[in-house]
Amino acid sequence: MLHARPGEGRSVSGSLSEKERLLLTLSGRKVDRAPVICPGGMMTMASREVMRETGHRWPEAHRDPHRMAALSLAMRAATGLENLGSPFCMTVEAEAWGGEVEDGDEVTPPSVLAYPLESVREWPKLRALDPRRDGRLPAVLECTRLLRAEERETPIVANLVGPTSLATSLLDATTFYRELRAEPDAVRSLLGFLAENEIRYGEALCGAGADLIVIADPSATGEILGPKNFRHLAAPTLGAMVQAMHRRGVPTIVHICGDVRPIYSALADLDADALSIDSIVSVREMQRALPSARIMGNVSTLLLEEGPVERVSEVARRTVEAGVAILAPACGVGAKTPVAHLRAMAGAVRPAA
Amino acid sequence: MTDQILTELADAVVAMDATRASRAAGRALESGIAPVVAILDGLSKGMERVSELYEAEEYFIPEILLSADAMNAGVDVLRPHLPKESTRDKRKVVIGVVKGDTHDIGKNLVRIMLENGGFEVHDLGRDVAHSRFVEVARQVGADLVCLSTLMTTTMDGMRVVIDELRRAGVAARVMVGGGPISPGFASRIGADGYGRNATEAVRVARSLLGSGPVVARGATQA
Repeated sequence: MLHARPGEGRSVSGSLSEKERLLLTLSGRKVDRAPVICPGGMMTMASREVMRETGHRWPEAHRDPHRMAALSLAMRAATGLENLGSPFCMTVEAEAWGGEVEDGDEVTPPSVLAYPLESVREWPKLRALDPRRDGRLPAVLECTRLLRAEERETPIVANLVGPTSLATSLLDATTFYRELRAEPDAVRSLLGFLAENEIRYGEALCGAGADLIVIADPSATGEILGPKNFRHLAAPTLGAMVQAMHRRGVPTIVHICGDVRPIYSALADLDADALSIDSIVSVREMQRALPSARIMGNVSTLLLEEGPVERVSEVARRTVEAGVAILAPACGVGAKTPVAHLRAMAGAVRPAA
Repeated sequence: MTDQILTELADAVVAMDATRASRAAGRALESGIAPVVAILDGLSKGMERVSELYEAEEYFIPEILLSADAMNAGVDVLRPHLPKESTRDKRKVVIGVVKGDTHDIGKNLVRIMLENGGFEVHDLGRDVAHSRFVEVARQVGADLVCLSTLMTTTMDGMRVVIDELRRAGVAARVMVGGGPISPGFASRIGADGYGRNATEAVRVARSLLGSGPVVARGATQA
């Protein structure tokens, strides 16, 4: 990896805070054990059980920064997951750009109902985002500040939507995928513009107290785009986001959904501090293919929701043995997921309380 | 000559070239090729090759969409010349993305592949209320209901739809698919079939409407 840092590979002893453990892991240092996190954003971290216990519920928690922060704190306390993260969906940026969002209900996350663009060619219609003004961006910034004021030792994740996935929230996905071939130049311009704005939003989140960035780009999966499109269209802008965050000294994780085998080499070139993968990908196989990559993942969210709890523990334990640097769910956690299952996943690395 | 035109129809689809496909369709009509033959032995053959290229990981979603556009451009030229009754005995499919989910790319692909595979498809769109599937399935006399979702959070809605279909006495078979769906989940919620991707969905639909429940080959997700 290009960003080898001083001390990489050296082990660290002594007792570590959750934040130290995660940041050291991301810088390539050997630590006592793998951290366990659930970043938020697309990989949402909220459970109906906790909402009901605390009264901080969806859909209100999507718009009210106090409830957003309270729910994130309560989730961490209930599950033993070692981070805080907001928001609970991947519609914040799309809404800030004029997408019409339906807030969902207690268990259904918000979704984009109407898109601001009809074609990638219309991208100049989008104006630069102002994180202090547009849509729910100020609410997420405020939530991040509240979390930072509350917690010093727990890492706070800032969640960004990757350019390709964001594009498919700003115009119809079918149109976008057609235009990948028909309008490659406009696609490139749109993705570049989105990445620039995401970088500024990410900086604002770090200014508000976030410790690291997770960029989720589920729609950029090689299964949909194919390796050529991934390398030439999706990866350059995703890589630009990672580099921009690195220049500011902020560690950055990239999550891609689905089968990433066809895009292994392009993924490695992103230079992310960790790559987060879906449950369909074999950790051992990916480790062999990309020995220098730090892998985050990949406990099936279907298993997390359905259980049984013993199986969650076993799969989480085996995922750690397979070599993940960070233990995490493979995708977004369903809000009906029992807290006991999340706790069982965390229990695979955390000493018994 | 006929062979040449049929090959050109197929090639135009594989080349994702809508203009070429409609031009070839026009030539097929001029030279007296039956529109049904032009579709089945020309355009559809191209789409079959597209499916093979997809499974060989040479074509991906953008290529499938554009190939389907080319196929449809050809069909548009041929359709007015089709004998009217040839659509009558088509198998009827109702398809949609379940309530709470607006991701419809997978569903759209399955629809395209089913249409090109000779099914009559009623597309309910995305974020579809559970009761709507029952209503339309009954209305059109569906042979097959296809449910799709990309999100773990809305998977449970599929179970609800299947229960409601059964309770309402709708005899249609049910096929499910989408990112988080596994064959195991499909059978637990009482679906008759599971398709891993759009090309497989057509195979599963064909075998479902022929015989008993199937789970598609090549289903690898745990």
